[in-house]
Amino acid sequence: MLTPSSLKLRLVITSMLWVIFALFIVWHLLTWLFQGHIEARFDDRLNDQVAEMVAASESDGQGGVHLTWEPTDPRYVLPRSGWYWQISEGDRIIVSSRSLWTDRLDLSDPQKAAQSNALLISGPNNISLRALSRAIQLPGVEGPLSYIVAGPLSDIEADVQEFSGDARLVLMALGVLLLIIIALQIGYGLKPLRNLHLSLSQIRAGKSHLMEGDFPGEVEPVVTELNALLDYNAGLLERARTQAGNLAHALKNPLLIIQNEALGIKGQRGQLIHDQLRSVNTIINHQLSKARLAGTTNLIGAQTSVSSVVADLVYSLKILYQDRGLELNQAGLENLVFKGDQQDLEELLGNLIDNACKWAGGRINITGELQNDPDGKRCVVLTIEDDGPGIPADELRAVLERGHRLDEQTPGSGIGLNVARDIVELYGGTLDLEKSIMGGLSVRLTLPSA
Amino acid sequence: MRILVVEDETEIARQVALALERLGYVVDVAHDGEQGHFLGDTETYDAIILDLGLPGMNGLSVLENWRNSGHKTPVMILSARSSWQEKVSGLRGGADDYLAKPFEMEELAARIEALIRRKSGNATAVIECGNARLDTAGSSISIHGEAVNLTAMEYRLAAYMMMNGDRVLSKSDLMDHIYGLNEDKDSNTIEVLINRLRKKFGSTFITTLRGQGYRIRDSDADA
Repeated sequence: MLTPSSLKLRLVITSMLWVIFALFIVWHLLTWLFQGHIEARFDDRLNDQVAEMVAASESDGQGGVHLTWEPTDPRYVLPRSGWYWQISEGDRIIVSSRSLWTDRLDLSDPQKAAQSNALLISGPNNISLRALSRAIQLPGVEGPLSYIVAGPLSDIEADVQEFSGDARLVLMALGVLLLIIIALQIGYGLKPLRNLHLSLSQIRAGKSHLMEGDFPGEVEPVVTELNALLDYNAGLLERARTQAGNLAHALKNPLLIIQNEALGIKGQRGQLIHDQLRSVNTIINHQLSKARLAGTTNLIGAQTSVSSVVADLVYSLKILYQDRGLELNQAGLENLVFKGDQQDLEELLGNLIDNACKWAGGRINITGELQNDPDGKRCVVLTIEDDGPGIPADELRAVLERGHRLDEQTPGSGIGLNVARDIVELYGGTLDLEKSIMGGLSVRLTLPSA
Repeated sequence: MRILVVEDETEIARQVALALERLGYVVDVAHDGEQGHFLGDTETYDAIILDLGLPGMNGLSVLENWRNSGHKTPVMILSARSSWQEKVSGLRGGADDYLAKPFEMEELAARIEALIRRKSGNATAVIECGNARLDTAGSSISIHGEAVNLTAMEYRLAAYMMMNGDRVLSKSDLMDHIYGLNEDKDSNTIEVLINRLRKKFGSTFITTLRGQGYRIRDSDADA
């Protein structure tokens, strides 16, 4: 994914910037070098031409000079061709190329012209020329002669431009190639990070418990730490549950012993002890079941199949209520997946279905469906209803209050609903009680769906 | 009616055993998993009460071992751990009932009684054989509505035979169900007991099948 903060995008953009910058510099450098080279060649040619003309110069015996032959290059003949030569003595032009026609070449600064370097002058029609001039003292000739050979600057410019164009094309192709290679290289280099991401989403989806696979040295510490954290989280829950179990064991045995011994105490005192022990047990049960909850803090990747939990519970409750011959119907539970811990769901549904079993006349219906809550989130909706006596409407609210018991003869009916409410609240779900069309109580749950 | 109690907390084991003995059961007690497993494996019981948190070998493994070796004795789990996850794993492991601590002795007794009764294929707490009427919940036998005064041994034998209807029960089978582990087993006592029962219920109450054992009179066949 190329989001603005994506590493890949950052690397691609910075690489693109430096590649473009570097190639731009290279292009200019190449053009500059090429121009120097072309100018040197041009100057060589002018130089050769001067040498040739000097060689052709001959004293006419009267202190003047004439050429034994003129350069044959047609460019020096074609008028205004841009290629010119001229031999002068002071301001007097002795002879010049035909191409120069009636014009003359003027060196703006004769002093400077004496140097061997080529210089820029303005020729006929104001065309820029590159000229080379030599002052030569010929034997038998009075003054020093000034030889000037010039060629059009546009020739150089055209060559340079052509080269520059070609170079730009080649460099652009190179740039594109480099960018493709860089993108591939970045993709390859960052692959472990993508694997990290994939591995994490596997865990989030509940398909894996630890990050698996080979990671390079730079990423390995992160993976190790994450795995340790996942392990620690799982261990924390495991320890909490073990401790709750041990505590239950440690508290309930003495409680049971005291309760049995108290049976020997008759009258009000015996009843008092019995009632107090019962309320201690209620509190212990409630607190221990709370301590066992995983809840949303351990939600990473937690997924629980509703139908398998219900199947386990129905199997168990059918054994526990064997004599009652209860009919436990299930509908619509297949494919429902609760986003949360399995033991939490077992505890929640166990308490509610157990409650329904206690009160039912003979039938309990457990139905489920997938719905969207008002925020548009998918949630699992479960309804547990029985054909028992039900709860009068004015008492429905009171039932959910802490420790409230509808019937002291049915132990744990209050605590069961309390635990259920705790669990539902922990997962941000809802628990509603209403009258079932079957006659008894209907408990409607909404829970997060995976 | 013979019951094994596997419970490491000696005080609880004593209380449970005492309560059950008062109801006419013979009770053997084991205090750790290995001993419990051994007794359940080698002795004959009508029901077993098994604690889960045992030293030596945990209750669930004990139960699974019994079930894997084909023992079908009804087992009731007693546990301080009362989460549904633990109940489910106990019942899936082959238990026939699960009672969370602390419990009322009456409830334990009622459920044990129901377990044994169901095991012998009787749906109700009251079993009738001719004129005799066994109330398993009340641990009493009556004839024509009048309670018969029985010793613990006599009750055990009569109740066991009535629960097993018209099955022929061998002498050793009967001994297995009415004697505790540490009691002297004397095969002559069975004959003595049978005679005493015949005196109290009528001579045709129990039929002797030579070389095979005894059978309670089948009321339906008689009628």
